[in-house]
Amino acid sequence: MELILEVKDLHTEFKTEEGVIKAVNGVSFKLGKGAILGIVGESGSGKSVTSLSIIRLIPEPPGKIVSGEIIFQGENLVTKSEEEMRKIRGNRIAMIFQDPMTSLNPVLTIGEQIAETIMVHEGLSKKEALKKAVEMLKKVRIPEPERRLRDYPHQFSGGMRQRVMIAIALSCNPDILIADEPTTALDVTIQAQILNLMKELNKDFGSAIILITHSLGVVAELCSEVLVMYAGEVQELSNVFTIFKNPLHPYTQGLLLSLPRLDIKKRLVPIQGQPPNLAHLPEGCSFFPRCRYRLPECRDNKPKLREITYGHWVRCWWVEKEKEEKLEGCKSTRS
Amino acid sequence: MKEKSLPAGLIEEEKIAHIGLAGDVWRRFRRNKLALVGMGIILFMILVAIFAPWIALTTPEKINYELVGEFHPPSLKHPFGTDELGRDYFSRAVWGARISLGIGFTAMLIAVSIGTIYGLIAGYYGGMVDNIMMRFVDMMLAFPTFFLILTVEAVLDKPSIFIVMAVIGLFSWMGVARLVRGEVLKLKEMDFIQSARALGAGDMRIILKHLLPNSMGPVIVAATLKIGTAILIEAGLSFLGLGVQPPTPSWGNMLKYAQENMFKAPWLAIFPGILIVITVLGFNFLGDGLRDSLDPKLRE
Repeated sequence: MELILEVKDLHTEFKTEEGVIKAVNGVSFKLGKGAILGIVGESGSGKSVTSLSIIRLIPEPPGKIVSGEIIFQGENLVTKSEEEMRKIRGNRIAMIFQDPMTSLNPVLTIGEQIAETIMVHEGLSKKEALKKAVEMLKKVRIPEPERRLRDYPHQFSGGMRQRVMIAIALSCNPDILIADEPTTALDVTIQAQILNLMKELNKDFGSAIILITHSLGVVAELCSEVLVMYAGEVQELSNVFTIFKNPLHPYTQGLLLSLPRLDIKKRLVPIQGQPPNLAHLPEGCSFFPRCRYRLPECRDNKPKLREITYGHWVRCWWVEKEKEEKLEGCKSTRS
Repeated sequence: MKEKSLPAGLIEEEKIAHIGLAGDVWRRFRRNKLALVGMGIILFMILVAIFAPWIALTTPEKINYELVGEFHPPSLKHPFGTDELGRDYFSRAVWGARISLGIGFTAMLIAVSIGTIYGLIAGYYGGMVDNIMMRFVDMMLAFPTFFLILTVEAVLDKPSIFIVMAVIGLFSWMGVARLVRGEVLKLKEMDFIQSARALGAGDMRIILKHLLPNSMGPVIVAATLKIGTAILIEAGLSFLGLGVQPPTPSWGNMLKYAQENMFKAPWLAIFPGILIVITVLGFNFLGDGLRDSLDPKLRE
């Protein structure tokens, strides 16, 4: 698989009065060309900060990328100047946000807003840019694109606005589309339509997608790879089938148990406790205070992200121990 | 394979009438009777100012030597009467509209331009820049502006009308600066600014394309009210002999020369006085009406 993006040991911090908040604490992952990666986690788990770090939109100060590398097509984005980043944003890496109701400028027409990005990055004239805008609106299935071009955002519904946002984001054919909770603000039927649209456009345009969400349902719908984040760290990383069939990390298991399912009649089990205060993280495993399977060593020693089976990475002492025991078991039965 | 998604929202979309932003504002503005009256007054005054040479009976400076010192009260021949030099007061009032409105508009343009640029920069860059810039505004606001203008005008001695406009403008931009800064502080946290940045827009583009047009609503309101204020300041200055210099007529200096003959010829004070009051009132009605109809929160 050809890589398009590789994040290596990323640390992003915010200085606040309470102390230094380690919002992203050593995140690493790889994104293949045209792949769809889901980043899942509760609010405050660092998923949005990770994505904002990738396009370098962390408000500075108080935020700062302290260390790590973001390798995009062989170039390290962390060391790029603002000027260089501006040429990448919207052109090679684009991003859409959660709330389509407020993501569009209320005083400009849809056409102007799509054309703006095309004009900035591709140097087309306004006329050509508007022509391309019509094409883009067609691609995201907005009916009567020529007429809708002259409309203002308030004349569109939420789902339609998110389509417009996607059209803007894809107008320069980016290598990566980062979607930060793109369906959270929409109602369920529209959500499904937007997800389908993204899936199709992923095939048509070949743009890789980083999908940030707190909903495992959305992940199952769309993603090929899943990264589970907790307290600014990657807890589990695997392909989507493994995560749903064989979740190893207690946090991932907790997330799945709290997800309603139609095929199994069972009470939903919430994860006990609250996410940790990122300014005062536990010494050992950050999930320790809420973990059902915690071991004595979890309190003081931070587990490492280890490859338990091929392509399945987990950060958990308990999982490692289980695996060892299984191996031991195999050996003893054989002898 | 999932079937292709439907063109969602097609039905609900049709219900929303296709009214542009301006149409929306006008629909709400229309309902406010007082604002319509204000707009009527302003339009009328503007027309009078533009067509002054055709409306006025004579040139405003023309002295009728036969009538000097006679003070004719309003009559058919002289609708507003004549003054101590036998000049037709109606013609002076009509030309005065041109001068007074001209000063009001120009001073407003200067104040709004400075205030808007100042507020955009302070609000957008924030932090230290904002702090220093806004403390300067506080300082400017702490001066008694009218006396400051008086002093400048007195130092300049018999200033030309353009200097009067410039001085009024230069000392009344602070309110607009505060207003725009406040708007920008609010706007720059909004998603569409973040979104524009994520799509590669630079500082200039964000300021000019996104922040400026979105903060224009309150600025238009402030500008309308500012014209009224500028007309009042001009009247005050001219009344004290430091504004528009005779023989050029402005409503303010007409009032000044009326006071000497207040009891002999009261109409000399009444006509320019009424004109100032209804014009300023017109701008205030219009400004209030615009404030209500431009408020995006009221959008239906």
